[in-house]
Amino acid sequence: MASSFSVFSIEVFLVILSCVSKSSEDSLPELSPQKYFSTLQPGKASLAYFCQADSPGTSIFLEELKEAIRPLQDYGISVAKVNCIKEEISRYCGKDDLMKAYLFRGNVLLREFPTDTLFDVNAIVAHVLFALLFNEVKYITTLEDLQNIENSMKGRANMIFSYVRAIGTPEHRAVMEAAFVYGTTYQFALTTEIALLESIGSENIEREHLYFFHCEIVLDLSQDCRRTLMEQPFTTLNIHVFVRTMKAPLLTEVAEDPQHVTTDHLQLGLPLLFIVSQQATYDADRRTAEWIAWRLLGKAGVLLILRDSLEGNIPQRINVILKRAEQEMEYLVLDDIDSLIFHVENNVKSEQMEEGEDEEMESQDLDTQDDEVAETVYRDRKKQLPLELTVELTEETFDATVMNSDSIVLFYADWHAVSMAFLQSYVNVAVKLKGTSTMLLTRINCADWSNVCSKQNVTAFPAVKMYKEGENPVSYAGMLGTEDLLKFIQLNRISYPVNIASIQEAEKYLSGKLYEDLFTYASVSVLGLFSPAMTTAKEKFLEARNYLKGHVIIGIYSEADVWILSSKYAAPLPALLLARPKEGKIECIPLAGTHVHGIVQIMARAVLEIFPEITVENLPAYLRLQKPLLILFSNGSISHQYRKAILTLVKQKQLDSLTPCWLNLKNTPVGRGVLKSYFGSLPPLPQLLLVNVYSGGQVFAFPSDQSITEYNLVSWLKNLEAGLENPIKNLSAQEWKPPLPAYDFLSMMDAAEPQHPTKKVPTCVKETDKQESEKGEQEPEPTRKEPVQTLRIKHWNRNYWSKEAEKPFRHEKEL
Amino acid sequence: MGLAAARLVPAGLLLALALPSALSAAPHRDYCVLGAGPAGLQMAAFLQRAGRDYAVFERASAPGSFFTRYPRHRKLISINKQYTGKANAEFNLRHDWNSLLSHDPQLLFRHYSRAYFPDAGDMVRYLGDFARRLGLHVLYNTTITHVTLDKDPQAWNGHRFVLTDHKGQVYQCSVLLVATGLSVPTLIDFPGSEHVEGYESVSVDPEDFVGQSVLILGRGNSAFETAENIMGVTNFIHMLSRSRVRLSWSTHYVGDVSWSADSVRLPEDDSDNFAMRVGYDRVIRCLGWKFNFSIFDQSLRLSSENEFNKKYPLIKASYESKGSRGLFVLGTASHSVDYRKSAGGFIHGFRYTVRAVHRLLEHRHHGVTWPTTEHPITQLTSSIIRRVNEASGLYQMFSVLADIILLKENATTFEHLEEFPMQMLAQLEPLTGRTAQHGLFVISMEYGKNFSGPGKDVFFYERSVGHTEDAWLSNFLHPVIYYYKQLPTEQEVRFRSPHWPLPRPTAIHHIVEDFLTDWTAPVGHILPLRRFLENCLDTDLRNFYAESCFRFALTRQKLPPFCQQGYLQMQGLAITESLQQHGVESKLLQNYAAATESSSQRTSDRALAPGPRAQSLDSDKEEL
Repeated sequence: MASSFSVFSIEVFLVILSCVSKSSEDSLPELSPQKYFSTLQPGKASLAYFCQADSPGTSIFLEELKEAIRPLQDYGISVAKVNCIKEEISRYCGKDDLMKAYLFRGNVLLREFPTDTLFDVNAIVAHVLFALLFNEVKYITTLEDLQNIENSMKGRANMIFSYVRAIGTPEHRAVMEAAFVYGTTYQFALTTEIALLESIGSENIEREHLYFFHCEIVLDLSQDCRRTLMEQPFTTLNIHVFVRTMKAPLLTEVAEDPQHVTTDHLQLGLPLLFIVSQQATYDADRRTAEWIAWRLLGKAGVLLILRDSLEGNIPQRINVILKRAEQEMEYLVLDDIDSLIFHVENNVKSEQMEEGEDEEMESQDLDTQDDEVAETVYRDRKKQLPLELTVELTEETFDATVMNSDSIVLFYADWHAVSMAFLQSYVNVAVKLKGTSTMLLTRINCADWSNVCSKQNVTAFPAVKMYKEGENPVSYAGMLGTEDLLKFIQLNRISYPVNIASIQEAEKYLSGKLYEDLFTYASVSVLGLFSPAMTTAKEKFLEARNYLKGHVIIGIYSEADVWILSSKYAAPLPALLLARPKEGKIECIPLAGTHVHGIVQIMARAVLEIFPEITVENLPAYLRLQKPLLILFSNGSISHQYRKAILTLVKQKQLDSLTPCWLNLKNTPVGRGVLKSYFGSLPPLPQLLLVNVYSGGQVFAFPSDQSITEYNLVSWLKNLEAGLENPIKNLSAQEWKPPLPAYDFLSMMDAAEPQHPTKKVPTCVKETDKQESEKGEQEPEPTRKEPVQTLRIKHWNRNYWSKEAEKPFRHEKEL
Repeated sequence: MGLAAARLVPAGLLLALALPSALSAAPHRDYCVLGAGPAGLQMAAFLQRAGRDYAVFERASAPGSFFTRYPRHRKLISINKQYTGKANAEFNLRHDWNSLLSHDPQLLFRHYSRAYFPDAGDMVRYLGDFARRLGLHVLYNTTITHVTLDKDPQAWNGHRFVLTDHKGQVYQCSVLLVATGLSVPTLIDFPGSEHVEGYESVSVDPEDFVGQSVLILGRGNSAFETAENIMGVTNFIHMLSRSRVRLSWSTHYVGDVSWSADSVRLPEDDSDNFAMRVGYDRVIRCLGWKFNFSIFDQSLRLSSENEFNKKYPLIKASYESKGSRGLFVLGTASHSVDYRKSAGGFIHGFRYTVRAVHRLLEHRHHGVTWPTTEHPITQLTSSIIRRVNEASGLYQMFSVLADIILLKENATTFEHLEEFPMQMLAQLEPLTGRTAQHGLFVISMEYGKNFSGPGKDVFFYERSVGHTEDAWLSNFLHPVIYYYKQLPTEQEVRFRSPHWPLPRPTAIHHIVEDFLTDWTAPVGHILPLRRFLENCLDTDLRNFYAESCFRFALTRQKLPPFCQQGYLQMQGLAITESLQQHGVESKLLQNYAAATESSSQRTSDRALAPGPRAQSLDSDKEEL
């Protein structure tokens, strides 16, 4: 009986789907009241709209009503329009404009509807079914109502509780359609009270919810029914799939080869998860499997399989097998249930997502901009920038301007998107510096003055150079953004290196009291210590300085009494002192024999912190260390306790092979995008992760059930090192391929020209062919075979495209 | 006698025997330039700037003597557009057909004339100033009467050129650059042709033609120029030639007639037989000029293309004579390379081909590789866009000179090489000293294949193409980019399809034509170009903001080139608030900050709602 029922339900759903997609062209029977009442059959439901024969202006409602004919017919409900004529007086014919629709069963009036409640086809279907299923679907408003129903169901039947924002919405219709099918099997409860939803602990309450209450298995009345929330979008089909997975057994035991096993889940597009057990551990495994099954309820089917019952074709270490429809089986070794569940959930997610993206790909037009910089700059083209704050230079004014004043010049091209994006930041710098800086901010459009730009050795845009009197121009090499450029300008207010004249001044310099204001922009200052005779060492140091202008505060002390500092800081000359006034630290690095490049590196490293907050701006500097990142993701600043734990480990040199850091999602919201890509959704915070960008691209998550303490951290890292942990994510090693194909003009030209250009020379054809067959990828199928009349072959080798190339694009969108 | 003997004995040998003592004493120059016209002076300017040892030989007492007499009616047909609406000096050269190239902004023709079609006298003045201001080494009043070869294995090319002037003075040159133009009027021979007057000597005073019937032979610019001058006073003018009139706006060839031809009758066929019934008072020959071959000894093997067409000397696409290495033909006389196709016979064209020859010579004899600029691959699209929008050489010498992009290994960087003679593509490596091992792009400007030709209606329906997809059908001058995985061979270039300037590429791209020749539209021009380039290179050439690169850096093992070359080098592109907003609207960017609330709630409701997770494992055991 149960099986026949499910067949029926599938049919109903198919019918519904086909109707929703197609706009019904059914005609609405128009009857006189008398005629109408004569058609009513006992037990059959009918919806009738009574209106004045000659009244116009109700056409919108009639349109919707027409659309509802088909879906209602599928539930055995007929629809009619009844024209009230003067000759036949009916009590359903209201006054002039107060026309209503009425629902009858047989000739019994069940409900009357003002037409404004039946505002569209969804509302019509929802309201009509709601009226008919009055007993099957309980409308409730309080927690007490819900508890009463729940209690009455315990040990008897399961129930489905849903919250919709309003009656008559598409979601309401979806619930009612499900109730029509499952109303006899499950008790349905419905509410529109947001407070009720809140009181049962739901969050994200602005959207619809549907819970399956597992009450049938509850025997103890004091116990609550387990609940499973439907996570899929609220459509009729999804509710159907969801309810069907609830109906399936929680855990199935099989003894067959997983290859041959199939259940409802596979048909519904959900994966099957086989837990591989053996006789010895069977009981424990079964409990684990059940627990997993609960957690994956509605997302995957869980099966328990005995290794002993199979002919040993499962590798020894394998304990989990993941099977998806039309895909290779995936054999896994997973020790951690959380990561297993993440793995399955993410699989389900990504599949669903990709299906959606495919449709998008099809319609993707080659002429649609997919460059975020080009598109945003284009959309912003009408914005009025306060350009007057920067001086526009021309060929005539350029030389005079940069000679006569300390100036910053932005070289850009007005058609170049990256230039124009940066111009906004540049103008922001001008706004911030307005009236405070001696530095003149200027710009020159290289699209107009290409000669000037090439004379200044600017061959690529955008470029920023600083011109100071008596010095060679310095190219700005920092981030193309307001903050970094501002810092560069501020730090360059003084000339480097700062020549320190006395020991006292040197101490002041190291303590940050000299040039105090500059320390808003730099956290580190460098002091080179040289005895007056060390000229070559000094020269190297001065050369190194040129690379670091605008990044670090650099000073030099080379007086006869330099030994005082040398001995105080235990710095054998020549040496560098790195001072971090904020932390009150001074570090010493001997320089003897170090090359210019080495000095640059030392100073660049000096800027790095031991446990930094990672930002968009500073990540590249830390990536350069080429070590795996140990990142603590946090929403807001991190607790003192975590910081202490990590700093202690750093001190104990336990983290030397890593770059420990933390990320504040408030400052770096894009971190959420990173986390979502790791977990599929936002995990609870804080979250400690090890991201191995450089070797293998694995991401490991610190177990969420452990607290971040020194001890736990060390043992986790030891496990990692021993290969005992499973990554939660393997970062894609995919190359960046073209996001979309290009127009294949060559084929179009070939098709238009009856003769293939190379055909004239047999030797050339041979060579080309050989080349094609050797390399094989770039050239499409020899287009000569194309019929000549094919004038437009829109895509360049589509087949080649379909697999490889779409991936990066898709990835791009999915994040 | 010498000439007669030369025909029997190999010339070099004879000279070596006859002139050893005279030669060793003769002054030597690395470069000798014949003629101080625009092409000669242009070459001299490049040689001067490069610090080379050179001399220019000029028969007259001042530069540009051709323009002291021609055109007879003094109006040049090369445009001199004062205002283009743009400041870009390179771009403006597209509308300045008279200036030579130099680093002195004062030496632009617009400082010499304000007329759209300037007076020839201004050209003479301009050329004089050009030579003077740049201090070019020109030997005036020196007529070279004879040029021959002297074999010398030590010499750059295995031989030296020996020049003898009208006074018998001998000069030796390692490289000979012939810029003598076309100086011999084309004659015609038929019974009675002795009564025909020539364009070069006919009166330019309309008074001399009052009430006369005139027949003009030829239908070139000189013919129309002559006709227009006397049109008001004659009974009628008839014009006669072998081919039909070509109007330059329909052929895009500046050598074709740019005069209004409305009021001149053209006897298309002989049926009215007018000439048989009524006589003409005067017949004027306006048949153009030929190269003067007479001073070149046969040993130079400087020949014309064939017996019937002796207009131009035979040269390669590198402007080097096919007969003797080290002899280059410049200027108007070099027009055989692109005759009737491009602008190589005119100042605005050959100023660029002369530069190309100079660059070839710099590499060949001085080890100076062809100048290039090197860029990261992320600059590829904008590098091409910049050039097609401003470059004048590509525009004037369309289908002749092309920019070459040489890819470096792994295509992470490239070299941009400007204005190379396309036809020499197969020899690019030896000619420039650059390597093209990893694939190359060739950027040229072309008219559409079915644009023109005499008699075609250039204004035909749907002539302009607006859809990027149909860019390959563009008719106006538009940029075309060829992609080759490897350098084509000489054979491939020689036996290419007749309508193609280059052999079949691996892939080709057309940037859709634009009436303002402004190819900067983000979606119409730049986007399709980027797609083409990234498909050739099999990479992703999009630009990304730093935030996107940050996300890629933590979620993928590989980064797109823009992030690698920008962000990872700590030169990421920061986004501003308003751009971010547009990015979110366009769905190309996500607002992670705003996504906070809803997404975190969604996660936590997943964590709380389904029962099992909240309950302990133990209670599960009991229950089941």
